Amino acid sequence: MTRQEILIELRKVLSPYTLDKETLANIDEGTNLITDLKINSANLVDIIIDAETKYNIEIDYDAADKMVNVGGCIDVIEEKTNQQI
Amino acid sequence: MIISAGNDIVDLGTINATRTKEPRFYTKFITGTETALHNQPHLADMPFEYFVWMLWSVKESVYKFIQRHHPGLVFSPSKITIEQIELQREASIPAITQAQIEAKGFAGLTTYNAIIAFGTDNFYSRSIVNSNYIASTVNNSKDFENIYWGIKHIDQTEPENQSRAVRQFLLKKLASVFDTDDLHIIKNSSGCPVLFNGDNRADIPVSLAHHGHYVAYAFPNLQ
Repeated sequence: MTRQEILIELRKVLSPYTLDKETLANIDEGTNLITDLKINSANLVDIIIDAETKYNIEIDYDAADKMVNVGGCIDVIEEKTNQQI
Repeated sequence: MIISAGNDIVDLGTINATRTKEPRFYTKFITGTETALHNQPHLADMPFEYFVWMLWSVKESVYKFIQRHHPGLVFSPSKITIEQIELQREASIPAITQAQIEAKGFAGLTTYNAIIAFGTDNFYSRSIVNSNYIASTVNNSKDFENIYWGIKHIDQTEPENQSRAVRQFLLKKLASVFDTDDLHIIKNSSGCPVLFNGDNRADIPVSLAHHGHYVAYAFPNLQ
């Protein structure tokens, strides 16, 4: 899976947690989940759990810390899915 | 000792209680040692999902308190550890029907008081817990007498409205405490709210929080 393919799927994971659909449609690797997408921090764990379910991966404490922006989320998903191969 | 402010609020009407109680969820930010704190007699009556979100709100409040002085710091809840939680049982709990509450300090209120460690530093929190919300305020001293805080119910939950409502709520209080009406808030590049008096940066750290139908503020009176 390329980073662009992960980004497209990640958009679906993030969608339930943001009302800002215009920003969501235009996310790139620098998009911050809280300051740009206006996602409440209380939903960050939901996003981690949903990403785990979608990609059948396990995201630990240290990896979760990186998931503050879209690029960080893609890094973690890419790394964890590669570990399965 | 650094001077800062940190608070957080969780709207319990917004959380997913079933998911919260799943180990897969809460172990993302609560350690086994912290989970065991729930077994203490004074916490055993608290629904587990409330306990989980109280710990979240305390950790997020500590992060906000520290982040003002460490802009690059990433919120890493597992590195902020809750070491102890006591119940300070007083006659009064803010009524859940109360649309707004503001106070200086927490005297006379029932609160859950935690001691938190981050690295070599200790922090202290006061959490108000009722069936509508969990609101936490943090300080780096056990003394909360000079901490102003407020919690308010809002009708519109869009992020823009939450943001506007919490600013208006805080600025109204600041104007009454400091007798000035030229205050405004700007978020700095790391997302931390900074208070200005006219064109000048005011020397008062402020913390804002919103979630669902609730907004909250906290700031110390340094005068």
